[in-house]
Amino acid sequence: MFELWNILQPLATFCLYLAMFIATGGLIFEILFRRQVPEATRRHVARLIGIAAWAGLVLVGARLAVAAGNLGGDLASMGDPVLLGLVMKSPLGMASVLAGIGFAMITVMGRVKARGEQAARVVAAATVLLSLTVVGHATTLGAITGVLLALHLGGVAFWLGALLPLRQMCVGAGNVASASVLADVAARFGWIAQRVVAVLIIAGVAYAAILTGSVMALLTSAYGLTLLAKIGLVAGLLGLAARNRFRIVPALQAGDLSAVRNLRDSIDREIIVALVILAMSSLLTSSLNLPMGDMG
Amino acid sequence: MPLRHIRYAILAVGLFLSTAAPAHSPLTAVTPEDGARLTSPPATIEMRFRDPSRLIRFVLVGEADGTEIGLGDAHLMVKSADHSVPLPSLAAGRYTASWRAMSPDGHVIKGRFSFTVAPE
Repeated sequence: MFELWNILQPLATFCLYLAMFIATGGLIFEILFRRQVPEATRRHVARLIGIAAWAGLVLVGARLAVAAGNLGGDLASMGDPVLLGLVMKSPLGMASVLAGIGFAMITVMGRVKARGEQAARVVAAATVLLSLTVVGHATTLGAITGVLLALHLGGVAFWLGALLPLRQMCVGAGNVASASVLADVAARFGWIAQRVVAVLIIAGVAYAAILTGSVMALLTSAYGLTLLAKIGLVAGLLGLAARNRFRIVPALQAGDLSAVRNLRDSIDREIIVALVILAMSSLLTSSLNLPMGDMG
Repeated sequence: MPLRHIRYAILAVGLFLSTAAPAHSPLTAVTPEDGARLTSPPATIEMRFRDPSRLIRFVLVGEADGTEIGLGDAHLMVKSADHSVPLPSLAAGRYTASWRAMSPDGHVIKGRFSFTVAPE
């Protein structure tokens, strides 16, 4: 039966994931590439991180309200203190507190310059990402799934967080000098990404295998089928990334300015696929249950 | 990003979210069973979850006139794997129960089932 909550719950989760990965991925990009990128890109990344962190704070509250509404089954329940209290006492409450602390740290860091800023960035990004490991299916299957998920999320944040800054660099790369800087950053990103993606895939596949229990469960449940669709899209994303790394970036390094446009188009496609993958992940974590022979 | 790309992204995400299927619930047993035809009205509805879950809402509606059966709320907000919902005396007819609960991992779980009281 159709329910508003079947849309609202994954939508709130999707928007929150987006804010999380833009903020934490932006921080990771800033840490790794800030000495290499131009000032305009540094400002762009800082702005993205700030907007995502503020949006994240709002979305943490929104997701709690939606969860309370979903519990009660009506809009009035979104403000019901009893139901909100229940949600806060659940793992979702702990996840929201962690995410809220992480986002708050990021917003403060954007305004205050102090010693240890780099360490604070790492702690803030880790706090936001760790919030995803204390809620949902990972919590019911032991510490190993939590560690695998944390590794997976770190890899996702690194990859997704670099897409918007790299795209901004493509837009600004109108001459040979700026295209050369872009080529250096993209080449280094590709080198790191190759290693990160290996960890991301191993951790993701191991996590999925532990969660679903068997290959048959993948084929016979809504959860498993959605997971397979997600894996298929990730394969497509890897194909785009491989084309960037082995064809477009070498062309860029050789001084071919038309490669800038190709890289931008490729990043646009990666962003679209990434959005769909995030939507699927939101559904997997917020609406679909693990295949374990349930009824209802 | 070109406008058409943004449109495609929004469309893809919208289409995907609109297909969001209702979750299966970790409800492992319910008495009376879904679709059961009973010759005498049940005194209680028994629900067994895979894990201890908190029952938040339980609504029973008589399909003949669409009225909600008054059940009180003593059975609600209790965290347990087994739940028992006491029923008043039910007249002949078909009834649909819908319920919502919170699982140990914080997920909202929900479902519905029907049974018919048809004295011989």
